[in-house]
Amino acid sequence: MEELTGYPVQVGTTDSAAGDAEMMSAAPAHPVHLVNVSRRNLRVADYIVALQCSMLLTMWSHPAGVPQFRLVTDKVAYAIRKASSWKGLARLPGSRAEQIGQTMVNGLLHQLLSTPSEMIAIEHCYNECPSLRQMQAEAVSASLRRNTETLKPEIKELAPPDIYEGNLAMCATLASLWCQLIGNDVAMIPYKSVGIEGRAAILLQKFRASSGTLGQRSVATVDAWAEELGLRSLYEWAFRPK
Amino acid sequence: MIMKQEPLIFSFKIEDFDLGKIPISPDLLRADRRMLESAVSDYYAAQFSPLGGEARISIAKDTVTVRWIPESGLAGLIEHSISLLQRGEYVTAVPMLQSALQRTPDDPDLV
Repeated sequence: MEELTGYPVQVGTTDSAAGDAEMMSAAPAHPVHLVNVSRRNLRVADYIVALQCSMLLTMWSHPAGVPQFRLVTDKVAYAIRKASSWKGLARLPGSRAEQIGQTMVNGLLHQLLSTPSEMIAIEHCYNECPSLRQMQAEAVSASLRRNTETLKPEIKELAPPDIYEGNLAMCATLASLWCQLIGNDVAMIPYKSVGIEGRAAILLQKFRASSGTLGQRSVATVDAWAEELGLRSLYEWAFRPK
Repeated sequence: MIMKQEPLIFSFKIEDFDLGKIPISPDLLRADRRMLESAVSDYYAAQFSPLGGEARISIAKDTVTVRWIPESGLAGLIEHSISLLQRGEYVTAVPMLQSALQRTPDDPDLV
């Protein structure tokens, strides 16, 4: 990492990460990449660190600089208002509906940003770190299992259809990539049961069609998926000098 | 002349299957019987896929039956089961080893 980015990695643990880990890319003001693994995942910590480092290397390989995903405030605010007025949320008290709408819109945009680089990193770790395969299988299975929680009927009832389907399509694309890597389709069963596998195939094809450095592939995939999912107006890219 | 191998068969109750082996929410699996059966079937197909031979998984009522016809001998299955044990996957490994032991009770590795 230090050789390729100019900054070392500091690894630690955390109790507060919502996902498997917290990661912060280095910058002149904090000249170290931080990777904090959730204590829940210490069994697979080596893989989580490898995955996070691979995601960092992906972003740092963009020739224009380190990509910064910047939300377009007024467009996002409109998307949140629209989501909050969806019938599933509108029956909740106003502030609660807006809070959940905000969580859903921001969550979807975070998923849009992170899934392509995560897919690149999953493939990279699978091919380059065979000694971590068992940990990878355990960690990816746990992640895919959490993703399928979205398929519970109460979530579908609550979420606006475009957000719900966008989330499912990206979850199914990640599952599809993993199925292709390990040669087993079990992770796609729930997505096939709701008929989202066709949309996932389109997103996976866009991922496969991306070219350039890993960073360019990640940014291009985010943009291609955003066009497909109707999210392209909600963010812009800026590139921070390395 | 190719000798046809005897099938290796084991069964278990579907409720004894460890849902943590499947990358799908346990709540979803419990709520959707078809999804559960499909997932368990795919899980065992994947277990036997690297071993070659022919695996058939059937589910009737509450019982899962795995029937595997090896291409040649049980050495691959025993090696695979031991690697499962080493990873702590006892629920998957033990029925495989028990059925192999029934077939070859004098195998020193199994004993």
